[in-house]
Amino acid sequence: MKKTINILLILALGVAVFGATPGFAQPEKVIRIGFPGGSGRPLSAGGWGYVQAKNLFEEEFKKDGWTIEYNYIKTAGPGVNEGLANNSLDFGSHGDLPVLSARAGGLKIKALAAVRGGTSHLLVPTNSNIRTIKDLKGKRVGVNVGTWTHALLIKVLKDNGLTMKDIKVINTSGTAFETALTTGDIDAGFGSLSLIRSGRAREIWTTVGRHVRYQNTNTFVVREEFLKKHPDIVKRLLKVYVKGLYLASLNKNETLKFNTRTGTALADLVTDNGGQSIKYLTSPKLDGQVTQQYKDSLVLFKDNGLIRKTFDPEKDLYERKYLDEVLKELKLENHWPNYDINGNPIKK
Amino acid sequence: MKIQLLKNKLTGLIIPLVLYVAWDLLSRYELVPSTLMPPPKVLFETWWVMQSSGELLLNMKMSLLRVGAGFLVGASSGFLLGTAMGLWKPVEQYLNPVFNFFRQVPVVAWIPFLLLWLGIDEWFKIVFISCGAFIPMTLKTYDGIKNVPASYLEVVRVFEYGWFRLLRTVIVPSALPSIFTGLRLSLSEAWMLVIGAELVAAGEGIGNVMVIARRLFQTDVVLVGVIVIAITGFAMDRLLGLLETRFLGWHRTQNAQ
Repeated sequence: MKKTINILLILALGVAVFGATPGFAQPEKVIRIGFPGGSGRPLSAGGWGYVQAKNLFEEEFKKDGWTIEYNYIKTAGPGVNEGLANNSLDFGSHGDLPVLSARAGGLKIKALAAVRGGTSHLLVPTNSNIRTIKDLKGKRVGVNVGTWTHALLIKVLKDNGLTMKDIKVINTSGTAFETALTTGDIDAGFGSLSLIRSGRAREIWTTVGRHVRYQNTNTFVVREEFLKKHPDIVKRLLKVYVKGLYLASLNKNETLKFNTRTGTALADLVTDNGGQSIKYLTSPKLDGQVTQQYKDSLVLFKDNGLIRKTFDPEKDLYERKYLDEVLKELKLENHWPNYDINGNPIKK
Repeated sequence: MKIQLLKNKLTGLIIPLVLYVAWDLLSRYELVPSTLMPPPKVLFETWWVMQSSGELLLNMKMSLLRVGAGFLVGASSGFLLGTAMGLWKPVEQYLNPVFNFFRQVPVVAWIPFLLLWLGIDEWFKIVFISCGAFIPMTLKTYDGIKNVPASYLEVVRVFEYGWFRLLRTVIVPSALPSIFTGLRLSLSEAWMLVIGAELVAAGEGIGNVMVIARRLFQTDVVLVGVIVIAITGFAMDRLLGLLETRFLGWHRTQNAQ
C-alpha cells in the first residue's frame, strides 16, 4: 500500500515536472515579431521599415490597445524558430531553410506572405588563392548553419559537382565569422558587401544578377495557435504590413535610400537590389516563384539531410486567405503581379 | 543475499520507468508539444535511422577518439604529477600551490584562451579535454599517496624496506583505490568536455551533430544525442568500475570485513 502511494507520488512529480508548459505565457495584447538579426541596426528595411517610420501600426491599433514588439534574434532564423516553439514569439519573418526545417520538424506555423530578394556574396580573404567554387574542395567554409545561406552553399556546391562532404564546415556567424575570415581561420563563407568595401574580403561568387532561385525567399509566418486565437488581429497586422509594402513599392530610389537606416550603405543596397524591380522586391504574394522554389528546396533539403521528413506546403504551410482579403480591402489586388519560377511577371 | 542484491538493482529502475511512462503519456496526449519534447516512439525511430545510416557510429567514433587522446594525456600527466607531489616533499612544496591555484578555474573558462592559442581544430579539443582529465587524476593520486596510513610506514621503517619495495608493497596498493577513483572521475570529466568542445567548435562528433540538429529544428536528434551521451558515459564508468573490482577485489572484501 505504502509502495503504491510512493509510486503515485513519483508519478505526480513527473507530471508536474514534464506537464508544466515551458516557455512564456502569452502576454496581453502584445504582438511579438522575430526577425533574424545577425548584423546591422535593430531596424527593418522595406515594408516593416515603413510601418515603423510612419507609425502605421499605432494608427491601426490605437483604439484597442495592442502593442508591437520587434525582436532581432542574433541566432538568426533558427533562433526565431526556437522563439516560436517556446511561445516567446508570435510571428517570424525568416528564410526558406529555417521555415521549411521548422515545419518539417513539426513546428505549427502558417506562412502568410512572402518576402523576396535576399542577396549574398561568397567571400574569401583578400590574399586567398581561391578563385572559383571548385577551389573550395577540402577548404574550411564558415556556414551559419540552418540559415538560408547554408542552403545556398549546398546549391552552388551542387552546381559545381561538390557536396558539403567535400568541404570542412565551420559553424559560425556574425562578427565571429567576419573575424575568422579576415584572420584566415576560415577560407570562405557567405557574407555582405561591407566586408569587400572595407577591403577585408574578396568576392568569388554572388547571387546578384543570377537566377532568383539563388536569392533568399523569406516568408512571414505566424504561430498557428496565435492565428486560431486572434484571426482578426492577424488580418489587421497583415493589413498594416501590406500598407508598408505599398509605400515601399512606390519609388525604388526612395526605398533604397530609406533602407540605409538599417546600417547598410546605399551603394551596397544599389549593388544588391539595383537589378530587380521594386514591385518584385516588395510583393507579398505567395505565388509560383515562392511555391515552386520551396518545392525544389524541400527536395534538396531532404536529399542533403537538412530535413528528415518532407511535407506538403500547400496543405501544411501556406495560408493565403488573409492576404487575399487584405489586398482586396486595400484595392491592391492588381498592384503586384504574380511571378513565375524565373521571377518574371505572369501576364494575364 | 542474492535476492536482496537483485531487489536493490531493481529499485534503481523504478523512477526511470515511471518517468518513461509519464513522458510517453504526456506526449501521446499532446500535453507537451512534440517540438519541445518528442515522444519516445519518435526517438526510437530517429535513433534507428541515425544508427543504420552509420551517422551515429561515425560521429561517436570521432568523439571517443578525442576522449581517448585527451584522457590518455590528461590522466597520465595527472598521475605523474600526483605521484611526484605525494612522494617528494620539494615537488609538493613547489607545485601544489600552483596546482591548487589553477584548478580553481573551471576548464570551460579556458575556452576563449585555448581557441586563441590553438584555433578551432583537433588540438584545441584534445588539450581542452586533457586539462579537464588532468585535475581529478592529480588530486586523487596525490590524496591516495598522502593518505597511506602512518602505521604502515612505521612498520616499513622497522623492517627497513628499500625504496622500490616500499612503493610496490605499501604505497601503490594502499593508494590504488584512490587512484582508481581518480581514473573514473577523470574519464567522466573527459567525456563531458568532449561534448562541450564539440558544441563550441565544429568538426564531426556527437556534440556537433546536436549543434547542427538544433539549428535545423530537429529536436528529436538533439534528444537522441543526449541519451546516447548518457548511456555511453554510464557504460564507460561501469567498465572502469568492473576493472576496479577485478584488480581491487581485495580492497572491497577487506572493507566489508
